[in-house]
Amino acid sequence: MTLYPALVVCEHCDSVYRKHDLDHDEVARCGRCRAVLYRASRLDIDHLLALTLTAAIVFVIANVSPVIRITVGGMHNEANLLQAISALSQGSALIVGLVAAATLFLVPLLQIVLLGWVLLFARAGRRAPGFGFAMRVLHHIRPWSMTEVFLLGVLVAIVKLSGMLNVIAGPGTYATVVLTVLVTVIAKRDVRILWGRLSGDTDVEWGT
Amino acid sequence: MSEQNRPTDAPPSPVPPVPVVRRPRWNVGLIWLVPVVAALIGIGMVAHNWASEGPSVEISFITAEGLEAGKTQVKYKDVVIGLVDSIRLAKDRTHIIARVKLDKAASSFATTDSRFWVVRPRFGTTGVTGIGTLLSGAYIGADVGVSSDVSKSFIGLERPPAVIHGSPGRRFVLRAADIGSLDIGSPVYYRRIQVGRVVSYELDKDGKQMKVDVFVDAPYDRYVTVSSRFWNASGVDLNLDASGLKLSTQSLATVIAGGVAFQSPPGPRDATPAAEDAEFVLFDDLQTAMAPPDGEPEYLQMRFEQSLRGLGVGAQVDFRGIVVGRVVSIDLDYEADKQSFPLIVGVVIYPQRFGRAGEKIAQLGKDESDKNTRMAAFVKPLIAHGLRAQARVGNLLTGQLYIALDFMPNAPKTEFDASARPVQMPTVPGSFDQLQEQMTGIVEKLGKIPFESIGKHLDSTIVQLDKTLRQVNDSTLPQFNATLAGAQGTLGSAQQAVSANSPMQQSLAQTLAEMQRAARSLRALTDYLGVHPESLLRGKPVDPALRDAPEKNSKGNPP
Amino acid sequence: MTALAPRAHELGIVGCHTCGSACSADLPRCPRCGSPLHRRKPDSLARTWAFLIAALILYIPSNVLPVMYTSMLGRGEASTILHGVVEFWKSGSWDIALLIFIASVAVPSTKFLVLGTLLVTVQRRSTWARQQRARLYRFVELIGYWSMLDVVVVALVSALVQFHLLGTAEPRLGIVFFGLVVVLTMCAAMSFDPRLIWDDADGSE
Repeated sequence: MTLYPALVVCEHCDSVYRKHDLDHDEVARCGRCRAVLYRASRLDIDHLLALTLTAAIVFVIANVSPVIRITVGGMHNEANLLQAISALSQGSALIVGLVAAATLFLVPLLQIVLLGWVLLFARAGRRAPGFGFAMRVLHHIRPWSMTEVFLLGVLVAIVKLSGMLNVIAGPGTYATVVLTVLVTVIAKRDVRILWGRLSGDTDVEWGT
Repeated sequence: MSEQNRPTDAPPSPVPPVPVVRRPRWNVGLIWLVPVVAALIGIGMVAHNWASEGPSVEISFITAEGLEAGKTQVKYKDVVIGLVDSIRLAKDRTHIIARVKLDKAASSFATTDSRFWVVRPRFGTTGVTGIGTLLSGAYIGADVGVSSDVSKSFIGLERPPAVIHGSPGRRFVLRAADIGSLDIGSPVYYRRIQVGRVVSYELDKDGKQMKVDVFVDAPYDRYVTVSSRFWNASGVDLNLDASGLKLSTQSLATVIAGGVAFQSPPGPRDATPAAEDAEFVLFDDLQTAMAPPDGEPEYLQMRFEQSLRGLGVGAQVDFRGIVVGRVVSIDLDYEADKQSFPLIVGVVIYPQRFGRAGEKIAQLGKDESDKNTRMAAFVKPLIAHGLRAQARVGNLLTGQLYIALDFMPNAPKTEFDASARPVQMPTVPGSFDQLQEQMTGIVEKLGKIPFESIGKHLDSTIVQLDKTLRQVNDSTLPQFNATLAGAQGTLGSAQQAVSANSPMQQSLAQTLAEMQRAARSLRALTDYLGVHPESLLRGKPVDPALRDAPEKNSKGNPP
Repeated sequence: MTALAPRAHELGIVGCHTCGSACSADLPRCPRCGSPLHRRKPDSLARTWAFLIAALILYIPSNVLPVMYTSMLGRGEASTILHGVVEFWKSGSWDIALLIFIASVAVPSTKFLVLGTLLVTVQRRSTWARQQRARLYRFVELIGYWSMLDVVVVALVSALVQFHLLGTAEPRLGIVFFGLVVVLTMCAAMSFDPRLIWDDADGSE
């Protein structure tokens, strides 16, 4: 009796509940602290994998094509995410450049890759090699994924620069918009359900 | 907790039928359209990129100064046609190689005669160029040629070419002794406006001349005619002559940077525009450019016995005031038998400077093939007529000498050796020496004058004169006085005759009064005749006053 | 909700942080995911305090030092975060000014206040407004990372405005401190264990 799959523990106040199947749109909340316990998953693994694949493609587009292009008096310049990070990493600002590289580029990339890896095998009903590791990493990096912050930063930068220069939002901006939506859908969603669905070990039922 | 929703475990009594369960034939969910669409967009972008990508070329430069991989653009007429992709050092480390990705539309630039150079700010004597790149950073300028042979590697020019391919205008070749202060890009002036520039220059293969390529823009290129003269307009031309000090330059820029000017010499000239790549001589200055052409020089040798202090190589040779040549050598000789040191002066004569005379001379000796023989044959009779060379003082202050060729009628006869080579021109001593001789002659002649006898003769003549004068005083003067008194009396009676109350005057006045009266009556007569011309035939009526009145009445009141 | 659910420790259960499964309290590691099991986050209060104080110290230079240096036609100007907000406000784009103000000033300040309050109340084992405090914590977790906005803007502007003499922009030391403040406050929020808010409640019940 080491694991109780039928029980759920509230992360925020340690209350224990029995699991209960939810209909669509339903959310299970903790009665003590009102925190969300779990949600009804609207997407099945197939959908998640499709969106993850889409996110991978969009991620490449967003990081290859220029996000903002500015022109002034015949000269022009454009930048994408990686150029912005390298511009930040010069000199003493290297630390913050590394932070930006991690949160804006590395973490979303890891999320997409690991999720794609796990879901690819999950679709076949199997645990991927390194499933546990991948799931743990996914859980730990989740708060550090800041694609949506980057999107907001792009918008602010466009407004900020358009006062003095001619600013054009490049294809990278649109790709970032899509990527933000996708990453929010696939990675912010609680992927913990995969633990239960693909449990290959002996789960012990909590007696009713 | 929420236990009430759970289904009860007890089965209902009538077992409901199992619904028809079927697997959809097409198992792939619609959700997979999403990544497919994303992939299509991505592939579309890649395909677009690939389609718009032109050829990659490699350009080598001495230095990568100002170039930046991924940033530096390639421009043709200020239109971006490519981007520097990467910059690397060549294997032998003597230059760098910039890899440039050209646009698809600019693939014609990957041909053999395209040229590439780096445009960066340049502060030269000809001005400041590329100032825009101060703000924007350097870029690579490009110029495309006419070739269609594909080439992938180029050697970048270290400085921008002076002329972009296809610019309207013409290219000419100038030959100069040295480059002076000219440089690539130095201006070419026509009537002091800039009409072109120096494109390139190179040394001849034998290293004796410079070949300067200039480009003259249209429409000014048509002013370059076959008779145009080019000269080096560099620097300042300071001229001091009888009209004063004259300073002339083409423009302030040429003072520093140098330049080339061209113009046709005055007078009617062949105005046919010069052909592309026509060759011209680049003269040192305006004066030599405008001077008539010299033609082939003839060499003459002269032999002077006296010192030639003040004569230098380059001194003028003058014939009747026209500079016809110059001194090219001055050598000292030794003649053992005479124990003398004559000076051998070599000069060149430009026959064309003789103008029409030169043409006639050329006509005379044209059947002779050898130049020297022709010359000798020509000068022989002239020497017999007294043609001599003479060193003359050109400037009394500095004592500069020049060689004058002139006819000296009283020159001593000399033997002319027509076979001597080079042709020898006999000389007479210089003008100063001659002056000295003449002065000596004058002094000798003065000494011969018999001043003593002249004095004696003069003395006796004066005594004679004195006698004559005394005689005049004694006899002639009294007689003259009497004659004068007689004349005075005659004049006095004449004066009386014309005085106001003399009888002659009075009778004259009376006669004039008579004449006046006669004239008055004559006038009355003519007036009367004017009114009554019939009186000439009928005679004067008896009583004109009585007859007039009734007549008037009868006429005035008709019945 | 009629009755409150039992607490995990009352049932001898520990919830796994990583996979969320309910495990026996006597296990050192989660049998499902292999992560170490803790009844509460280790040294939660001390770590949170440490991160919070470190962030608070760095918050001073991040606001005093300029975050970006811009030069236009040779005239250079270094601007701090607040300076940027004021400039946006003055130029009329009050919405952007407000956005940056919230992300760069209001969010970090709120985090300091909220986490400080939570730490103090937990240490005093206060039972005051537990549900509201729990919500406050979740709110802080939610908004925390939006402070990175300013870092992103500085990065983008300095990457774009590279026109040599005409205009350049480059990051300055202030942005480093600011980035570190964001990271440290996020760490502080993560190391705080919200279960502590409720701990004493069960004891009193």
